Order: sequence, then structure tokens, then C-alpha cells
Amino acid sequence: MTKDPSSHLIEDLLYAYEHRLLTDPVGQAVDRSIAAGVQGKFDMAELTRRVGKHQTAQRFAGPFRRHELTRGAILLGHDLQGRAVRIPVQPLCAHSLTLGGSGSGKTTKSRWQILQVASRVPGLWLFDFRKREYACLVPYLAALGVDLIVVPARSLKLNPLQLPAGVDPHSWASRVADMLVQVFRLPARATKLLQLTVIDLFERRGVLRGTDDYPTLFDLREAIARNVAANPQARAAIVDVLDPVLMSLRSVLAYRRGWSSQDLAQHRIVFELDGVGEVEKDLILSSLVLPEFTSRVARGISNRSMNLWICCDEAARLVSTSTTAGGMADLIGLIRGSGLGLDLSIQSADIAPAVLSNTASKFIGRCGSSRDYDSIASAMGLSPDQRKQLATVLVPGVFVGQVGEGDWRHPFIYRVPDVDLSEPPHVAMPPGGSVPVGLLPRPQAGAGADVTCDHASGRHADVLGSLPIEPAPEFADWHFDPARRRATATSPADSQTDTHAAQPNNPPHVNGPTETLSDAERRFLRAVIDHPGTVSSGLARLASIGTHQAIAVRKRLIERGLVREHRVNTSNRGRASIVLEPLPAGLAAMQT
Amino acid sequence: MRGRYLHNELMVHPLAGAFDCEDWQTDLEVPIRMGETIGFVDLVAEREGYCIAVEAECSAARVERDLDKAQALRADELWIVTPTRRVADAVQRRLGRLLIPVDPDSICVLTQGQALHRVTSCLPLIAGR
Repeated sequence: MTKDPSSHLIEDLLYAYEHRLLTDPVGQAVDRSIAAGVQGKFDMAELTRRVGKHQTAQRFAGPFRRHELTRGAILLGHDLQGRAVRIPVQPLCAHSLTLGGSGSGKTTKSRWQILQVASRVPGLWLFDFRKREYACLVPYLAALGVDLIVVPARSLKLNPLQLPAGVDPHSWASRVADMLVQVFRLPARATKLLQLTVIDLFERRGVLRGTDDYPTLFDLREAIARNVAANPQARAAIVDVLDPVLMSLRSVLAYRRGWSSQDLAQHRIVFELDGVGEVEKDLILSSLVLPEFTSRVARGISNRSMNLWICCDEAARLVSTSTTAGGMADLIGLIRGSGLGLDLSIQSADIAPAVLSNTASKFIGRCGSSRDYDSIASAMGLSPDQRKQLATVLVPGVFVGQVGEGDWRHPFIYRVPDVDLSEPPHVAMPPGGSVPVGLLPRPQAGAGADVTCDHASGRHADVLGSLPIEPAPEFADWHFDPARRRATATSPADSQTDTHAAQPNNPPHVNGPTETLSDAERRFLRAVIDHPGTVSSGLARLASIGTHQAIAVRKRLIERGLVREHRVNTSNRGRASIVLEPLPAGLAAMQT
Repeated sequence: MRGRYLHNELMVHPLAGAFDCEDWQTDLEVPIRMGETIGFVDLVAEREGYCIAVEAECSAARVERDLDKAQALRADELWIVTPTRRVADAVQRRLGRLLIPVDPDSICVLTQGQALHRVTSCLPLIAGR
């Protein structure tokens, strides 16, 4: 039994519609003829030819459709049949996520895109966390007339407490408190202490009234260390984590006004963070990216062309499920359309749901784990056949992609060109004789991804040195004092150090009966005097010391004749509480 | 006030503050003539004609004199407030041994916590009597 020719026609027509085979002028003419019922032999033959050709090609393409990404300034690569895969620049603004194991070609893909995107955006931030992957692009971009500045971590000038443009100080205090808790992995209770302290510092320095005399992290550390009424665990945790970071990044953070993210967003910069610890990397990354995110959200920028592209080669620290609570994962969804594009590359599928939802373009390379394939395949909506083929078809340099914007959103397979960085390009020298970029090209060695780069020093200062900054010289020689840290972090009662040692007007020891008092004893005695009638356990809290330590302190103060103990039933039921009476010797001691 | 820290700072002043918060009129160290001598009531709280005499006692030694002062003041209630339950028990025993007739409804022996609780929680419920 033969099929009705009209049913063949309809099937072919539907197939042609589905795969957009009639979008060119000839195809549209064929479509109109068929729709009007006046199709001739040519129309039928043309339709059959197109459908047959496409079906044949599709059989070779496997479960992935032949892509229709043929227009745009960015060449992603070529599909397995050698057809170019192109996209416009603007879809990158909807953020992209690349998942691939080590050696899958993520860095090569990233470099290939950077070479094309860099000249089309005024701002480009490239974050090198472990290897120096991006600085090699300097001479190549220079050949294109693009300045790429390489800034080592310790050459940065930042103040995480600096208010981003257009952001309310109270909002920023809350945001930066969340950021610090996340970066330093502090207990949740520290959030409130940090937030209140930042607001207090803002108020004292006039930031709430509109001045730009911003407090620094050093100010924050000292203020929290002095706050004896604060929760002792939170206080100790903050001081503990801040001390080593402030020591390590002293030259970076000793600025009341550092480089603002808004200024940096006008430049193309490689941030090389391989020389600092993991916590420091997180702090620097957050101090750069979070203000820019927050500022764009606060300024209400929307639906504008991309003017800043941020590339993170190892972005797990940004998108991991374990590190994103209240952090940048929440903001990624908000900044879409604000002119900021994110390109995140990660090795495993430990990704926060908010990030998966808000990265419109996704790419998957060769992975070492079926779980990674499953996770990203689910997020991309791959069919079971497509999912099955991932494990076999993906080799280094081959990716399955899905572009988030545009009218063709099917997953496609493509190969990234092998970027050969073995030979530095010929760079046209300007009349002055120097390369017109932030840094001179580094000596090259090796080939492809194995190329190594070396720093040329100091050139970034020429470009970034003109940005407005205000140093905080009082912290330029700030050093970590273990004794002071022990005291501020609720030291043992016999510690002879003083919390207020950092204050020049508050000497660590006073003459008189308190000469031999420890810091904890002094705080406890002060609480007794300032809060008459408070039961002993309440005094321990006021003095920021533990219950057991408070018992020992109380006994010592009684033995020295500084306080007297009374037992009073201060509540309706239960045992009598211990209430302390300050004796004249104790009062005199604290007045000196 | 002639008492010491425990008597004044830990017992009388917090109670006076609690009465003040409940809109009672309070007076400290109110002098009372008792025959040839003058006594002082630690705290007198008054509202709408209802008068409470409060005596803070750290022992049971002066209970009889407290009763005399309350009668001289014509207080509606006498509160003998003690720092601990042990002292309160001692005061209760002492009152039980007294030969003079005492209206048990008009005399309350309370610990400091009980007295504060009574001011803040109980008196508002019986206000206006």
C-alpha cells in the first residue's frame, strides 16, 4: 500500500518547519506556493531535496541536531561536520557555565572566546586562581590593539568596606557582612555582629552622611576586638580569621579608598591570585565582584549591551552549593541584563541551583564522573540518547553547548579550535617604542595549554595608577600580635594582656589594686560595678567570659577584697542567685 | 538609707523601681512615730488609697518591730522581703511564735524574686481594691 503523496508533502513541510529549512528567499517562495496550493514540480522537488539532505546530515550528526547558529561575531568553533558555530556577543551577557574535567579544554575554550570578545567590550576581568592561564593572551590581544593589564594579587588596592556606587550604606553593611561570613566561613551569629559593627563604623566616619572616609577591615577588626559586650564566640571567630588575612594582605587592604569596581570595570584586567591563600583569594574575588554586582543592581541598570565580561577559570568558589548562601549566587540572577556577562568554568557539578537556573548558556566538556554528566544533562534538558552519547563523543576540545538567547536553543556539539600560543604574534610597535598595553608580553615557552608565562612588572601601575585611592597609613605597618589576639578572643583569666592595647589612650595596665588584674578580671569587675544586682551568670556574659572562667574570676576578686558575694532569690522560684557587691577597694581600683 | 548594699541596692531599690513602673507612689525610709521612738519603713507604696509597707530583712530579728511600724503607718499590707528562702522561713517561724494577734492576709513574707513577681504580675490583677 503506497502512501498518499499529500501526506508526504505535509510530513516534509512539517520537518522543514521544525528544522527551519525554508527560511531563505527560495525556501520562503516554496512555502508560499505550497500554502496557496499552487505548488509545482520545482517546489515539491526543492522541498524534498532540502528535507532529504537535512535528514542525511542529521543521521551523521547523531542525536544532536544540526545547529543553526550561523550568524554572529563570536566563533565558538566548528561542529563535527566542519560547519562554523557562531553566536552574537549579546547572549554572553546572559551568563554561561562550562563544566568539564581537567584537560577537557575549558581553558582553551575560554581563551578562544576571550580573544574574540575582548575587543568588543570595554571591561574584561579574567580571574586566574591557580595557574597563570590568561596572561599569555597579552601579546595576542596587543596585536589586536587591546590593552590587557596583568595585576598580581598583592598589587591590588582594595577596601571591601568601600561603598559601591549607588548603594545604600545600610544595604552594603548587610551585604558585606554576609560576604565576610561566607568568605571566612564564620558562624551565622557573626553576621549580626559584623553588620552592626560596619554600620557603627559607617556612622562614626560619616559614611552615612555621605562622606567617603570609609573604614577598613583593620578598623573592623579593632572595633570587634574592643567590643567586650559582643557574643564572645562570634567575636573570637572574627578576630581569629581576620588576623592572618590582614597580615597577609596588609599592602592590599590598607586603603580607605581603594580601586573601585566601577573604575576597574572600564579596563581589561587579568587578576592573578595564585600567590595568595584560598581565603585571601575568596576575599579578593568577592571584594571585586560583589560591589560591581550590587552597584549594578542598585543603579537599576537593565537591558543594555554588555560592557563588562567576567571570566573565572576555576569558579567553584563562586558557584558551589556549599559556599553560596546569601552570596553571589543570589545576585547572579539579578544582574542578568545589567551589561555584565559571566563566564564560569568548573570541574564538577557541585553547583548551586540558583547558578544553574541563571546561566542561560551551558557547555559541557569531557567529565570524569557520570554524576557530572547527569547533573548538567538534566539542566540542559538533554534527551536520553543525547545523554548516552556524552560519555563517548566528548573528547578534549569537544563540547556540547546550549545557547540561552536567540531563537534556536537546541543542544549542539562542536569542537573548539586549538589555540596555538606557542609563537608570540608580531606586535606593531608604536612610535614610543613600547607595546601599547598594560604589560609587556611574557617570554613564551611550550605550546597550547602548556604555555608558561612570566610577569613583566610594574606596567599595570601606569594604567591603574591614575585611579583615585586614599591610603590608610596607620595600618601600613599593622602587624599580628599573638598576645593581643589571645586577649581579645576571651583569653584565660590569667592573661596579662589588655583588649584595649590598640588604643593609645587606653594603657594596658593601670596602677593600684588592678595592677595584677587580668583583662578578664577587669572586665568582670567593671560589669559588677556598672550592673548592680545582676546575677553572676549575667556578669559572665557582660564580661564576655565563659561560665567556668567566671567562677574562678569571682573567687579571686572575693579573695582580694574587691567584691562581696550575696545570695538572693532574684526570681520567683529556684535556687538563690549569687549577686556581687563592689567593695570600696574594687571601686577605687576601677577609678584609677 | 541605713541598710547596706544587699538591703538597699539589691532589695529595696529594685522593688521601688518595680512599684514605680506599675504607677504606685513610692517613698523610701518613711519616718513613723511609735510612742517615744521614731521608726523608718524601708518602702511605702500607695495607690488609690491602698498602702503597702515593705520591709527588707536579712534576718528574722526585727520582725516584731516591722509589725509595729506597719500598724503605726496603718498600712493595708506589710511585705517582709528577704533575700533568700531560708531567711523567709525563719521570719515565718518567728511570726508563728508571736503572741500578738496577726491578720495573716495582711502580712506577706516574700523572697526578693517573689516580691518582684507579685508587684509586676499580681498587683495589676487586683488593682483598685
